[in-house]
Amino acid sequence: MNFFDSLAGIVQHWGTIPWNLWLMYAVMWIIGGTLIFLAIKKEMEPSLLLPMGFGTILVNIPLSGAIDETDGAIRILYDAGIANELFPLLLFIGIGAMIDFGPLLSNPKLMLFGAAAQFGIFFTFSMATLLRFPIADAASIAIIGAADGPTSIFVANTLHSQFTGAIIVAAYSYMALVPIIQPPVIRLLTTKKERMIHMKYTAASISKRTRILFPIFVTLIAGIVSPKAVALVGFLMFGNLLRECGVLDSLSETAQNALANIITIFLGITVAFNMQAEKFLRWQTLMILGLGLVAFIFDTAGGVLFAKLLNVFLPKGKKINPMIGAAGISAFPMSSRVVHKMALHEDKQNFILMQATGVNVSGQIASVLAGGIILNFFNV
Amino acid sequence: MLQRLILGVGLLLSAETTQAALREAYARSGSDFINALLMSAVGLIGIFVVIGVIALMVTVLNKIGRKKDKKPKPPKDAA
Repeated sequence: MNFFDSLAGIVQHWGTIPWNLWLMYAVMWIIGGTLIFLAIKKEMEPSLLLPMGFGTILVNIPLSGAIDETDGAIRILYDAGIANELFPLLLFIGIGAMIDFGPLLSNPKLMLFGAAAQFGIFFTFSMATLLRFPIADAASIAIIGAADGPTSIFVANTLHSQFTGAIIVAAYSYMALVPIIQPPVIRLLTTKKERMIHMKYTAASISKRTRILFPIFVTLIAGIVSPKAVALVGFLMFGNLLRECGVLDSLSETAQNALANIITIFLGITVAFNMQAEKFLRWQTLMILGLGLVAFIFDTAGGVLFAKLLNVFLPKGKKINPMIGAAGISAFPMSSRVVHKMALHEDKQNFILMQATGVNVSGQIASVLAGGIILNFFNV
Repeated sequence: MLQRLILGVGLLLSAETTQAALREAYARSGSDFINALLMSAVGLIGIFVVIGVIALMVTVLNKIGRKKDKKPKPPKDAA
């Protein structure tokens, strides 16, 4: 075969692609470019949105070899790490090693706010079925409210959702938009007086035994109640055990840095497999983005209203600043910072960062549990 | 007026075509919605129970830890 025959073959191939498909590819290039722009210029979850944006362009090139049926690199990575849910789980080891559960362990009551702030997940689940999404897809969409990328990927993949790409984009975009989404909801549901409530923080010393036993017991309890969540919770807690055991500092450091970074690179570029034009450009994508926002709003509302409910029964002087309930949304550590900033805005002497951080890390556990509980309802 | 309205609604609901349409609507989306609603209620209660148990466990661990901290350690060379 000579050069001109090869060239004619390539041009002929292009000619077989209908114009509307070219248009769809062009839209996906713009979406990929937008993700890269948001990652670099706006610093929105750059570690994931940048590889994902680039991957989106990579998989939406006509006849892209990256997703070739037999030897496409992204397809191979997808089958090796996402189709079997391995990458999100490995990332959880790194996340677990990064989290200090200290503020939560010194005030375990704060954990309940993490549970309350998962309300948005369940509310969105019902709403999505009302909008005629198949029930497994509705559950996958609702998990956007977990405000936790790996959990969203894990649940959507396990339930074989046809909307995984849109779900992941929504989950990571809204996590980055927490500072914009949460404050209006909090302001709407609280009075200035409530936002100015001071909470006393006494840093109780946590024994090393408690820190070590905590991840083991959480895995046992969550595993017994929700066996489907055991991999999710277990990997998160394993990472935390590496951190707290005190004898594996180098492994803990590797999990926090090298492992988490490597998996993030692979995860980011590989999830783009779900961003192929034919799969992504559907009217349902817009609905999923809308439902994701609903999930975040109702998560925030759930946490704040639960705190207000508790305040009805608490004596004066022991009232809770209801804003900390909003930090149960799991987006760590953004949510706690948003709440702390809002408290300081109302009263420059109101420091609730530690309480908000405690609630925030409990949200991390609760969101993973919510994912597991939802999976339990489906025979997968 | 109200009686007529109730009668009208009653007649509409009892009409075979309306019933068939309602049944179809339930089959298409209603059953999924009700299932999702029930799953959501159970799921939310489930999270509170699990988190509550974990919080209780942490409280107990903290108490045990603090008691152990309070106990003075006997000097090694007491004998």
